[in-house]
Amino acid sequence: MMRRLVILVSLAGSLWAQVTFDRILNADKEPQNWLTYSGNVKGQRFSGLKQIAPANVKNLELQWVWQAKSLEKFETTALVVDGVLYTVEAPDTVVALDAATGRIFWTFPYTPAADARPCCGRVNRGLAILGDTLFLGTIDAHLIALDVSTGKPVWNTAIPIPAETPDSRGRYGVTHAPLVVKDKVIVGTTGGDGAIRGFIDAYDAKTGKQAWRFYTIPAVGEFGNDTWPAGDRWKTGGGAVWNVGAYDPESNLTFWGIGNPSDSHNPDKRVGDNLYTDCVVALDADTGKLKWYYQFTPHDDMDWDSTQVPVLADIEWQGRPRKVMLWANRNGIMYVLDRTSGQFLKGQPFVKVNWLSGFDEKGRPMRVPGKVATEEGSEIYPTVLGATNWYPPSFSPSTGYFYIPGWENAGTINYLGRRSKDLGITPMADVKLLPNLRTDDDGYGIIRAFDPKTGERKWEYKMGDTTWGGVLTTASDLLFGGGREGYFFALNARTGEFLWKASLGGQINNAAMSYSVNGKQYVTIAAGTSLFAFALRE
Amino acid sequence: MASGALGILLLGQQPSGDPARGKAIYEGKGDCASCHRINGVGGRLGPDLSDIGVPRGAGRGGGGGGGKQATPAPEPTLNLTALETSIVDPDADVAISNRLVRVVTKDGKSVTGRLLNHDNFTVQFIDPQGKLHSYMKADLKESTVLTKGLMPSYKDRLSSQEVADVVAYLSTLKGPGK
Repeated sequence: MMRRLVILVSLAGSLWAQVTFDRILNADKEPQNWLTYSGNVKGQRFSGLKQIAPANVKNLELQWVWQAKSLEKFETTALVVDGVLYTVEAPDTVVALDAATGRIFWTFPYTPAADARPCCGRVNRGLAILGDTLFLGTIDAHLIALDVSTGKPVWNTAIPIPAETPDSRGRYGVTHAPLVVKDKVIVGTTGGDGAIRGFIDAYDAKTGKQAWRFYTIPAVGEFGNDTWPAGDRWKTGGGAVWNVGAYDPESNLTFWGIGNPSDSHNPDKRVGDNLYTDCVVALDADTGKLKWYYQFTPHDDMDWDSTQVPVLADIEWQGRPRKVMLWANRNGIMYVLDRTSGQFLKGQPFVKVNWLSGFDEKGRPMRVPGKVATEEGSEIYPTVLGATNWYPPSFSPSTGYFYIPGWENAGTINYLGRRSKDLGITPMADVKLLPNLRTDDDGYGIIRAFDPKTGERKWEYKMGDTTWGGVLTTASDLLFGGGREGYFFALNARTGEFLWKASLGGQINNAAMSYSVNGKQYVTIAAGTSLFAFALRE
Repeated sequence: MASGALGILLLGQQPSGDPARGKAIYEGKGDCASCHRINGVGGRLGPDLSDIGVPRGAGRGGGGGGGKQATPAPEPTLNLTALETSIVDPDADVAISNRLVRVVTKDGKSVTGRLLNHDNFTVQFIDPQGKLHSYMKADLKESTVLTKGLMPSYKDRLSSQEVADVVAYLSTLKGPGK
């Protein structure tokens, strides 16, 4: 009801600080906040906070817990802006909490359309913010702008479904956190295990009007369409985009990882490289025009989506400063690319890999003969579930190391025309803790630190189970991680030394983030269906 | 035929005012936007009115699952009388979600806003600038929830026709993009 409030309220004082794009670009200068899914637009998942350090991390204690009503996997990384934490209860309900106490400010409930059928869980990985507006992508393919103070919708845009797939509406949706670049909100669609044509869209942040679209499967007459069989096969080629991208302000390029070709079990029916599946694409952020691409797995027959978070780093490369992109791929290879030109600089396995014999002079991978899908089955490492997956890695400007969470010693028997068979035990993520009966022969979880300049592995932390959890590093040289065993733990980021753990009673299917309120540093992680916040004991 | 607090005729629950004039009053003479927000424009202290024109009050009907025959839910209706009353006699029925809270910190600073949540130890509210606040009650001298006097009556500020115009305008608000 209309209520003009006349109680004497002070209207003096300036409006609270808006989250400008300049603040987002310079997020490293305000480490008390966490302004994007990855903490910055570079995808580094690195916190500049130092209060929690290797010497005192053993004094972490629980500050608060927020329990979601949803029983879906909790994959969201929260945002924190000036003491307010914004997160998502799967699939698409947004909540604002006091970041110091976990008490609730507001809820935006959202019920997706009943015909929304994302392939792998009704999940959400996060939000974006610009000005006084939050942006939410939904599993029924809407992009919604919310008032950051009240959670009320400002606009709600139905993402247009490609004309080539009128019967696949329920397959399209958004599960990743949007990325804000300047005045635009960029999202991609999930659904690449079904008959979709993938795309990346940009929308005007003020109005919700579509600004540009980049199709991840080129149409007839466009460059790359000849990497698909003649006919209509390209129209349902897959190429979903279900993880957030990154942005480089110097080149004005935004980078996005593209998912597998559809369908992954019948590669013989889509002869060719199948661009731009399993690629990273570099797009002009203003127009969506393709500047360069690199394909990690041409003609993928292993469902190796390249939907990992692009990690941008400025490192010394062969004696000179170079602006690179680090990429730990589901196919088991760690890459270093020049992010301005797309030039392939280096690729090396970070776990057991048996399909790669090397790279040609342009960086195209060469497969070991026979290590492809066959009718009788071919043993391939890593598994179809990936040496790593969507869960985020980290780059620490402090140590200079690239940290990769993943699976070691996990493989697959790959059959042509039918589902592959796991070697050992290769479980999907779950909410609950489950009995672990595996041995190392069944595969196990790892966090490995690499020096990207040399490719040298600096250390490894081994988990008793596989993992679906990402990693966070901090300026105090801590690394926070977790996994299926439900332990949230801290390691020394320089040495890998185990320093602290908390048993949280549910699987960890997301990555930690950190912020501070009134000078007190917090680190959060979701486990099971709850969000936990830790800080040093006072 | 229904009549509101001012006896405005609301034929068949259709607003008798003019929405365009009502919009002008909302944005001008009424100064409603200083406290209320519509589709991202206006203050945040009062309730967001972006979808105030969406009919409400429908029951859930019966059953639904378990193999039982669902009972059709009654058609929701827009209560124009309640809209009118909220303008001319706003204290008559203050929704619990529209309460204010005033806190005074131990150093004497007073802050008032719309109450969002409170418990034994903390209180959360939104201030007129749209900033979200959370305090530990142990850090406060006072924390008082206010349930009346939140909005002035427009009974003597607007004519019956002007109120009807505003009601007509509000009844057109169906949410963003609608």
